[in-house]
Amino acid sequence: MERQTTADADCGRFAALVHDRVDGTLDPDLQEELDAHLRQCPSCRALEADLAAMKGAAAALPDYTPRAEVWAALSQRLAGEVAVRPRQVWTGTRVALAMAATLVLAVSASVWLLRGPAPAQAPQASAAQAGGPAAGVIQSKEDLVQDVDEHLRIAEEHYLKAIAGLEQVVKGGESALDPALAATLQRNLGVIDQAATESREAIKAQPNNQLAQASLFEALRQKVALLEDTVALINVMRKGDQAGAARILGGVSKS
Amino acid sequence: MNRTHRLVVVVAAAALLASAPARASWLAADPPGDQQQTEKFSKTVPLPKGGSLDLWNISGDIVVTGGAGDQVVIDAVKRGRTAEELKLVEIEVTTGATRVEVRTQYPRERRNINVSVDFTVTVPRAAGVRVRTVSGNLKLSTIDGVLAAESVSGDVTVTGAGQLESAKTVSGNVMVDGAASEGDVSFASVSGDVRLKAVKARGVEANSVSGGVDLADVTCSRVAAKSVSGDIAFAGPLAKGGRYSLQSHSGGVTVYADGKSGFELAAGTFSGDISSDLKIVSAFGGEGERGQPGRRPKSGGPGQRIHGTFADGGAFLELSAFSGDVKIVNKAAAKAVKQ
Repeated sequence: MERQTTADADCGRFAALVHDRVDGTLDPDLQEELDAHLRQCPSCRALEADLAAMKGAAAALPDYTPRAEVWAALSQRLAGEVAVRPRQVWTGTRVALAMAATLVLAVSASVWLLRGPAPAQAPQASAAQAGGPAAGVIQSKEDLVQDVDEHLRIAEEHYLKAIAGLEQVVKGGESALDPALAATLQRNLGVIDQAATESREAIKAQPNNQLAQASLFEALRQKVALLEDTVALINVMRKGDQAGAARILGGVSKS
Repeated sequence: MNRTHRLVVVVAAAALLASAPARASWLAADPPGDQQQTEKFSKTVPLPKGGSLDLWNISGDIVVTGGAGDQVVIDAVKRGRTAEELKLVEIEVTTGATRVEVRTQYPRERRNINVSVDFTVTVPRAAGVRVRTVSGNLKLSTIDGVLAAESVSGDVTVTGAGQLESAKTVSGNVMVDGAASEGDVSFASVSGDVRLKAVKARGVEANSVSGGVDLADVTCSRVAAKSVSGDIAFAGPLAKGGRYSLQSHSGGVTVYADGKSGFELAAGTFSGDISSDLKIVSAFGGEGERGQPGRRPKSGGPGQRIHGTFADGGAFLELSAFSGDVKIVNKAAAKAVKQ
């Protein structure tokens, strides 16, 4: 997308207003003034489009805020409070599982970065609206666009790490599943991989395409979900725990 | 089960694994043709009004039918290679004040027990029913209590459910004909289709990875339907203030509208086409062929996305596909042409 590099002297202030509008917090009294500026400033229009695209892409990501139960379970494990009898046959799986779970939480943190409003924005915006000196510390549009790209890249990286960890667990435990079921799950993971590959190619061709970005993250989200469910299923199958198997049924197909 | 619970189960299961003894690999069952021996089981237990049945099976088909009376009638057939193996698998029936639990128990200390158990159960029509199996088809009909049916490998078929909560499978189809709920209902398959007909609920969530999602005559104010490679179709009244979100990666997304109910449309496709039989006033997305807003120019561009309204814009349609087409079909017009 073409962007003007020479910003209007007022652009810093209007950039803050653009942020507010995208966040849905713009003072109605300032709407008209912002619209007037946007009409004659392609640079700020581009910023608004980029922020809207970012918001759209973030909205397509799963709500992976770290949860108390997950932290509790992990911290228990890490603190050795869970009585785990050391049996070599499960050690690798447990380690990989913990790793995968941690990576999933890392995704959460990244997604939170994307979804959550930047805490520094509000005071900056207020100062900018008041014409104060803080206007000078607002990030340039180019920096913001780079930030968006960087956040998306980091989010994808975390997803891929989580997927790699989960895949390792699945690989190690797949024999616990009925071969036909395992083949079905693998085939469907392949379907999701294909969707992710197509989305990546689309992003290569059109880096700012919101649909392509949303499509990629949806595919990654679905893969993480299906792998998580597969791991859970493997675990209960291995245990031969009927109650556990029945319990897991409730979630396994909700990818 | 939501994602929180699932993650907890994953972590908790890992923690428990160390103390779990090696047990029967009960999914590695022989094909039905190899199971020569059978053993019948029958039991009838009372179930008062407001009661429920929980049935947990590992391998075998399950048929549950709601009927008159205040009893649960359980008929089962165990199938296995030898009579000795059949004896090792027990059907436990536990009765409480308002609950009957039926569970197939495999021996913990032995592997490769190739026994399946088929259940045919009759319950009072008003009873709640929760059925879960690992491998087998589920057929549930005329049940007015809260109903949840889940299988890992097998089809789930529901007919005439008064308070459906969920119907899910991993490998198989989910087929529902005639169901209602005052709340939200979730349907899912990984590799099969989700086909709903005449379903009335507050909200419907329907997902598949490689199968299609077909929602016919579905009445609700919230729909969230997703598939990766399958088509998604929705036909039903669009409620004012309702939200209908249909999303497929490589499949098509089609809404059969009645031509009267208004809606706001946000639709997008990366490489497919967007078309509408209904005249949509476009906020953006461009004019296309034959004056249909949203028709995507072959060269790509603004037609990939459209935001517009039809009539009063009362419902909100969010339709998205990556490579599939997005279509709004005027059901009334299509019907007239057909006639």
